[in-house]
Amino acid sequence: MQSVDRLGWAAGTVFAAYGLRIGVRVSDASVLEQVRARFPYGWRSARGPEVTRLFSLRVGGKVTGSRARQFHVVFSGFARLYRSEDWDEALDALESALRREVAEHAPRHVFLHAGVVAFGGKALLIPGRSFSGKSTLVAALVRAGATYYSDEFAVLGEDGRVRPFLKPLSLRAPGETKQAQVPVESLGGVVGRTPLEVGAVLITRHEAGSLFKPVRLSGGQLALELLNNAVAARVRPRAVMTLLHRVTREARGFATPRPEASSMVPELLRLLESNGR
Amino acid sequence: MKKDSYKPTARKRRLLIEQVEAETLVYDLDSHQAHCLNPTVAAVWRHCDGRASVGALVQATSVTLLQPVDEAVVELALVQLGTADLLENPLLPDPSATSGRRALLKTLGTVAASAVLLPAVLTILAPTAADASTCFGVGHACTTTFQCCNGLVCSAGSCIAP
Repeated sequence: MQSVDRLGWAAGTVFAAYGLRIGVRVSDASVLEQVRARFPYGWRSARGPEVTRLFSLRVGGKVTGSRARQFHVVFSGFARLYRSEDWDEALDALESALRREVAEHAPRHVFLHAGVVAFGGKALLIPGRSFSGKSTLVAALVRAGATYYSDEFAVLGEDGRVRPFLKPLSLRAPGETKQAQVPVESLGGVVGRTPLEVGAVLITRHEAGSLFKPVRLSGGQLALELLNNAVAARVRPRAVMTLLHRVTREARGFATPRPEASSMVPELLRLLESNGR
Repeated sequence: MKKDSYKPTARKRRLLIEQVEAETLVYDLDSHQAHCLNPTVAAVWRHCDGRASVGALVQATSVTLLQPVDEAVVELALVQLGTADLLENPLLPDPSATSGRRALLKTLGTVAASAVLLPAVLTILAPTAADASTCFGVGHACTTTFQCCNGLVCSAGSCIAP
């Protein structure tokens, strides 16, 4: 028995998501509902003890009869991932680790770090890492009538179609580093439910004072840009390459610097309506 | 290695190759680099069978691209393929020569250069799962190391290199 197993666990649960079975155990049964609220989009309860990965959360806090405090500790398998005296930070770390596990190891899906909206019956992907401004652009597109699919992951199935990864949008106010979780309904938006073909991909990053000047990407350039945002690029390169090739056969790719999202959206929508010509 | 006797061999081991229209996408399973070879480099690479000399490659590439290709174009493509580690026996660039796309443009002249696409290899380093996930970059405010991108730590409220 490994040392983590000897820490004493009070409760646990198993959930299934994207072909994975993930177990989570906690040292205090009263926190299990809070933990469940952090499971990734699309999860459902699973029966049976078999799991592809086990996460553990040891609840810390004040030690009875002492002035000492214990850390809250998150484990992935037998490895300690994170520890903190702050409970919310520990939950954030667990949530992030669960999401990363799914995005990296889902056997029949490829997760791209990208915002996704639907427009005219096809999906628009906006790949990008943190601070590329994709959530802001997704929010502006949703306000302009696009259907919301995700502000974090484009989840591609083996058929090359993108699935929704619905979560509140993570938006930062100007000058703020802390993100606020904004429900799409509060933007007047609607969420998409059905898998969609990828119609266009926009490679962009916010540059103050820039102009919207889209340049058409070749199929190879587009595949490289998508690969650059694929969570499992190193873990399953063959599957990722094959699927991205499939996407590039249907989708048009554009690259442009991005001015303020609100000023760019009308031009972007015109570009998509014009079929990119 | 003398250029006259140089017969490049395309590397095939530990590579994933996808043909994307006229371009070729290559994933190197050892370095985790991904390359996009434009049609000119892809055509040169395809003919690097270890038997064809540079002269033969010029002829073969011209046939593939349906237009005459200058020897300097093929040499630049071979240098780029070597740099990307896509040749078993790379052609080392001659330090005395003015190689590169800019020098090639001068050599060929604008008219000739416009007839065939100049060789180009785009390369990226495939991201790790942590890189491709949401994370804070250097200098960004943070409360925990978990929020910072791979290889960074949260110190005094900012993500920094350790």
